[in-house]
Amino acid sequence: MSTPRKIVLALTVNGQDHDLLVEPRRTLLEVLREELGLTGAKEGCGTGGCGTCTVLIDGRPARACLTLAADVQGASVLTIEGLADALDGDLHPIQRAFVDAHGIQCGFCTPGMILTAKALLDENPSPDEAEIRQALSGQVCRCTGYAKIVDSVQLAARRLAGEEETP
Amino acid sequence: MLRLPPTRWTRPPSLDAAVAALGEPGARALAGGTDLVVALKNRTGRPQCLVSLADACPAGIDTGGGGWAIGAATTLWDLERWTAPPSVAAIPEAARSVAAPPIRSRATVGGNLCLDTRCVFYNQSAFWRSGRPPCRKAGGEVCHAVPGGDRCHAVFSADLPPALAAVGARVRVAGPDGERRKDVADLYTGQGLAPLALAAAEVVLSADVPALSGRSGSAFEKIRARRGLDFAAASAAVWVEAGDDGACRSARVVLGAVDSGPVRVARAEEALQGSLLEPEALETAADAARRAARPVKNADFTPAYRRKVVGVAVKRAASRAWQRAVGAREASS
Amino acid sequence: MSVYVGKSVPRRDTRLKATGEARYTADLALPFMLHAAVLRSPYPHARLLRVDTSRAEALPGVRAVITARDASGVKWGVFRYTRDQEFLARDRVRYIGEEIAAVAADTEEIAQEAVALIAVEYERLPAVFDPLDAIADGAPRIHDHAERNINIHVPIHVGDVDAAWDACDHVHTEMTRSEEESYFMTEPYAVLAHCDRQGTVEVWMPNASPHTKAKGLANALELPVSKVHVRHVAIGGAFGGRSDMFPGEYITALLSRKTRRPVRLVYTREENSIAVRQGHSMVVESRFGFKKDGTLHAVDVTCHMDGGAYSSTGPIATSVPFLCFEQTYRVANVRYNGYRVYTNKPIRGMIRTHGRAWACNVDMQLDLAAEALGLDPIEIRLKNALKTGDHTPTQSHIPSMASHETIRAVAEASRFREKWKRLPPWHGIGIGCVSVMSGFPMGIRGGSAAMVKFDEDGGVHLISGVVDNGQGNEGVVLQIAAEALGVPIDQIQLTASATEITPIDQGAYSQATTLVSGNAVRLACEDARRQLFEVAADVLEASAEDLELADGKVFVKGSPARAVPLAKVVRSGLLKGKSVIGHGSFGPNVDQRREWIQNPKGQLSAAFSYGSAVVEVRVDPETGFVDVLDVWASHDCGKAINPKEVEGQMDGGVAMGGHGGILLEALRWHEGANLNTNFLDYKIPLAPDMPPIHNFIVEADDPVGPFGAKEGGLSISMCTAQAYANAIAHAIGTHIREFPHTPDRVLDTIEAREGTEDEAS
Ligand SMILES: Cc1cc2nc3c(=O)[nH]c(=O)nc-3n(C[C@H](O)[C@H](O)[C@H](O)COP(=O)(O)OP(=O)(O)OC[C@H]3O[C@@H](n4cnc5c(N)ncnc54)[C@H](O)[C@@H]3O)c2cc1C
Ligand code: SF4
Ligand code: FES
Ligand code: FES
Repeated sequence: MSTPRKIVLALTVNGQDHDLLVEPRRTLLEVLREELGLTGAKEGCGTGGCGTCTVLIDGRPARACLTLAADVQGASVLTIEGLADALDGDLHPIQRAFVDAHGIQCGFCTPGMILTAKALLDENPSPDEAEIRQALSGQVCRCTGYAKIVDSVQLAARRLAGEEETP
Repeated sequence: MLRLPPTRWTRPPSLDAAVAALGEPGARALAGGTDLVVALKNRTGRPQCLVSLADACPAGIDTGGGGWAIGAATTLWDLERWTAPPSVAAIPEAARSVAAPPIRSRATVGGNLCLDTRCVFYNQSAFWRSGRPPCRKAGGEVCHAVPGGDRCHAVFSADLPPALAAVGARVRVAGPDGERRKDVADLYTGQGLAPLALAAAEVVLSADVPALSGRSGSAFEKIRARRGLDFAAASAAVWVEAGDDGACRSARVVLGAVDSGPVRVARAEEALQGSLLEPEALETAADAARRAARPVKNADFTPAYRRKVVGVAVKRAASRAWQRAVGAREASS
Repeated sequence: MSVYVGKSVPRRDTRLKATGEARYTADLALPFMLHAAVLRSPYPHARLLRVDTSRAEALPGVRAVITARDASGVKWGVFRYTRDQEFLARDRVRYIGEEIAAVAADTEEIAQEAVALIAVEYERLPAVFDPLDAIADGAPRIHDHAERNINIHVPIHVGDVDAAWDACDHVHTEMTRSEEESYFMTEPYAVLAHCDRQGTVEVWMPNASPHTKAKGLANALELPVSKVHVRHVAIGGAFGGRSDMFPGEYITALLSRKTRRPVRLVYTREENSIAVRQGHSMVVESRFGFKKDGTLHAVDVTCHMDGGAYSSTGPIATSVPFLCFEQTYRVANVRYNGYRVYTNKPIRGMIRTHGRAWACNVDMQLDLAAEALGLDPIEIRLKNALKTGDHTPTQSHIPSMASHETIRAVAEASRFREKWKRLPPWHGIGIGCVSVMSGFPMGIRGGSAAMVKFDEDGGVHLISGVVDNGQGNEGVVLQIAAEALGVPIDQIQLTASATEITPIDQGAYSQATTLVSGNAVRLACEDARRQLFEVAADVLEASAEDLELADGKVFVKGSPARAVPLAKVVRSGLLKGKSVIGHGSFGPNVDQRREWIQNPKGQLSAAFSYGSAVVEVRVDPETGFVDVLDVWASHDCGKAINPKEVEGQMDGGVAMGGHGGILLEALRWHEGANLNTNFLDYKIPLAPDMPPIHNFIVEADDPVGPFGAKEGGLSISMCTAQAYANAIAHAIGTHIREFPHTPDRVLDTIEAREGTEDEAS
């Protein structure tokens, strides 16, 4: 079979527009990591089961490993690298909360975890514990047992709501 | 990294264009890709062209015409947020039980309705499968799940179809010969090898849910290993309607993940009809479901276990559906 | 009063991990880099008749193809007597996934395509997949040297077990089995290697001991260790599964050597599951004898472990479950026969809860004895738990062990005694206890050393061989250094796990890092302090003994105004030609004559932690699902250097050992092929599955550990497993002998029990 022709892709990632020439079989994860050098999204499995590749597409968490890059043209993609830039401080409040509440061990699940938490808090600024656990139900963490990840999301929610100061 | 095989990709701007594109040899419909991309990575499917249905199928829930038309491109993320009346509450419930939020954000209703059957001996990498003769579903002559078996027993484990079938939904299908409608149940062949009763280049456009009696309720119950991600080991969707006498007037019971298609269980429905869904009636319905189930050794848990718990799923779905029906009746009276 | 130790300061590395800035191996790329892929055996046992690489070599974009013909033939095994694995199979493959050939190409796609073009002619051989089948007469032999496929036999006998039964009032035999568990660290294995024209090899890969990797790789590449530089990289979890040598690093280095270009190999999830390490399945037969008052008097255990195709850490893996038992409960007469058996399955290594069938068997025996003797589960454990000052049967002295305190902590917090036998139907409560060692004899690689040097502006550089797999080892040594030096953590720069620079260290292995590496760091800092005080004594016109260092200043004790900033001390030293460099070296007090098989006696470890857990469950009698209501975990970790991080280890232990290990996790098989190699089919606990966890840290400061610290978390992983199993037994009225207790097994057990009750009535 002859190799299918490359296609021109117009992608918006972390607020920046990119014009790329790629094979149509490229997943969003491959394009982020290999074309744009954004290695914050990881390939823990490549088949949808772990969540380490999760990024936000138009504000919703999605598996970059199962998404064809061609399919997200016109959408806005946010990766972990783009989260902090939007604000003055060096860390986004959710990132800061994960650091402060010890929600990170090996860190391989962290980018997907934080972005999924962001989508949750954007939709529901004061989720209860069950809602947090449900929102994170597709994000596997092998290290933490999730306890301090849940703490981190709760801390982030309180700080974003102005109920608690960031030291 | 797991890589996709070389393929072409197109995103036709209209339904007609999509149907035409799907008529080309080696073309395959692509919706959210949450199942198809995995299959491609495993090389269980090797289409030459992926035809994105994003602009060809409707998205969203259309309330015109007395019922609801759920567009095939509607994401499960949106569907689970639908505040459905008790009669069709099984639908968002089933949507919510699929995979996990970052998969539901892209997974579509059409893709869920058209999900391929699954088998632990088939949904494996090309490397894994290379160590043994190809099974029937992979084009070979043997079955690893049921040695000596004469057909493929791959399991149909999509969660929406039982719920849609239980509430009596129909699907709207379009193809080279135009549009047609059929009952959700008739979308399935019950065959592991080719589970969908769709002609070449046909696409599902929507699931049309009828407006049902205000005295009815539905529920979906899924037994799975964990509280997220997992496919059903067994599931049941039940719709029940309360009669004037307070007893159950009609019922529909549909099982998931215990055969190669959704399984409607008439005997379970008979057991519920005329009852108050008291424990004996539920137990009879559960037994009927257990007899109707045909699990084999190709999914989570043992077949014997899945057979047992599909009965439990029926009881729990029926009880919850009944509470909804009765609750709805009280609320409306 | 400690300033930095004992404080839950946020870890520095987590800032990088929160922003995506942390680089894991697969994130690294070097200019001109090639991509590798590996050809693996699809068959569990076969002779290789012919390996033809010509078509792969002809594919455009392929830069090198290697097979055993290119390899040195050096065999790997952790011990001299266990070297049985070549990194590229020469004439025979022994498990599905074994490496046969590898390709380096311009892209990963081309490399994968080329692998598919390598033609191999196999002669299939009969295979065996169960350890008991493998030792039976007539079983296919997997290695010529191993009769009855026995890879390792650890025999231990202390006291006189056969004579002891007569003195027992309760004797009971139990048989338990567990399937294999798997690591499922979120990061799949990956290697980046670059062999340059100076003959040096730089390597990045997730690992639990850079120095072990450097030595193993140097051996296999036939290079001096000084030519192999294992570099620092972020690591996505280990749990025992990154400990020894894997073919991946050798293959990648060889491809790089052949092409003179950097080469990167990234495993798929499936490869990570089958071609790195897996847990051992086990069959455990135990006989326990107790006296009337509950004293454990005699124990006889035989265990068969499925070791897979090669030795790996064999002798250690075969011993550790026994050791964890003998450190936990006192017993005068004990015999252990541990067999690690070769099968045609992937290679097995040590995993966090290594030996759930073993550990849970012990606690099941205790509960059954308590029942028979009219005691409660707490009493019988308090009666038999080892304590500070005791000796284990194989002659380890226990310098510190707050066993009773941890048992009481969870018993009281959970109100165990009020609930025991008084809970509603289908509810249950259970307890488990375990002690874990902080390190064991590892010969020349059993110690650690560290250095501290200073910048002219007072900045501190700490150099240590520690490796951080995510558990926070870097944070631990930074806190220890800050405390020992009296300098804020932020002023300390850490260089870790870079073999070119860092001194030999045992690695994140055997729970030794905090105690061994931590002590080396403490000593290095104390040495530096002493030298700084010598210099500062002149500047401050005081005697060195009267000086103190805190907040980055050296001052005279009692008169903090007489102070000089660290930077100034450093500069004064430099002016005199004295560059302050602290050095610390630490070797734990273990008996180096102790040997796993030949001589299993003598001091095993410098310190022993203890963990106790109570778990309360509700079982759904219709589905067999177990709803875990609460977990109480209590840990004597010695001094908690960072309490929140210790809690994090405890939480993770509950998830992996308890919830995953007992309710969910098992590898499934079809003729030697692993059926569940991915995150969908292998069930690791998800956020909504996990119960509330109540942690209690009990600090029995250890005399040897740095600031009193031992290990953090592993004992919780194991004891929670035991508590989960006992709680389920309490809820359903009988123990389940197979692990994990998946819902189908729970339901079968309930129904079998109801069946026997029906018959009895
Ligand atoms: C980790 C994981 C867990 C999962 N868990 C579940 C689960 O619990 N329950 C469950 O039901 N599913 C589960 N899935 C499968 C899948 O995500 C869902 O079924 C999803 O709804 C599929 O929709 P999609 O839009 O992504 O389909 P796609 O993957 O795009 O397509 C699936 C199939 O449907 C065909 N198709 C798609 N749309 C149409 C159409 N309109 N007309 C005709 N054919 C069409 C495609 O050609 C393809 O054959 C899981 C997947 C993953 C990766
Ligand atoms: S049921 Fe048999 S034929 Fe069908 S997919 Fe499974 S192994 Fe193949
Ligand atoms: S990489 Fe595991 S879900 Fe995408
Ligand atoms: S922190 Fe390691 S996987 Fe979550």
